Amino acid sequence: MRKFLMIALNTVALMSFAALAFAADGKMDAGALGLTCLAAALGMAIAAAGCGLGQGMGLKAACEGTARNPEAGGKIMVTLILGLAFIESLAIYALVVNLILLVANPFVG
Amino acid sequence: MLKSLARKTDEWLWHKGFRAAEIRLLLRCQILVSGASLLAGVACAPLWDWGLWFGVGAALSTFNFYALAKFVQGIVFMPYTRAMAAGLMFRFYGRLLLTGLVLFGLIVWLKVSVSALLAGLSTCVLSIAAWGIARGAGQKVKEA
Repeated sequence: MRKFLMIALNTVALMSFAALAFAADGKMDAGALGLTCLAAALGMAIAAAGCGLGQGMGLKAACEGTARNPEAGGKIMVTLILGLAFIESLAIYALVVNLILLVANPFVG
Repeated sequence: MLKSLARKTDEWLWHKGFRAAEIRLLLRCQILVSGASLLAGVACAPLWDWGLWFGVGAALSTFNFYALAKFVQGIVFMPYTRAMAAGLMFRFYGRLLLTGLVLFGLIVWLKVSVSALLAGLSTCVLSIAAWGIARGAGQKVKEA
């Protein structure tokens, strides 16, 4: 419950800050602004959820593999690092796209 | 000169605790690529700033890869203590926060070319993919 409340409050805060930023310019109508904020929030949420699931599954498989065959731990660790780097770069791309949508939107102004 | 630079980088990474040879190789390539692109970008900045932001993106990507590799090695090799776990988590989330802030500053305040930044951030993924393809090709040759 507490986790859900934190997530909801963070989302509201994110959306209200973005609304303030756009309202200062006054170049976007309220409907488009709301949809942009919703798209950014949903986009980041989906990206974070997908990347979290992917990293968790990778880590779980690596732990299981190392526990079953400790001698292969080195190779598993290398694969794990590369997999995590791949997945994390996707989250960074999503962050960049959401930042563009929220505060550097080329279609505004 | 390039060989000596690569050897020195490799030794530095070894001293920093990177024991897996493949990770050292990839990190070495990433560090050299981002360093070279940053230098070239700074040199060409008055004429064309795209290269500079490409270099900054590559450096950010390298920093993230370096920190992630160190984090995973720390989890695997270091003996567990509560202080070690707290330190690792602090560094992990600090790195994510720093990356977010740097990206925010670059995109919002400095209004850098996003294509350059994304191309720079992609260098890590590309070098890993290239390494994987080269490794696969090498294995096929060995098997044949």
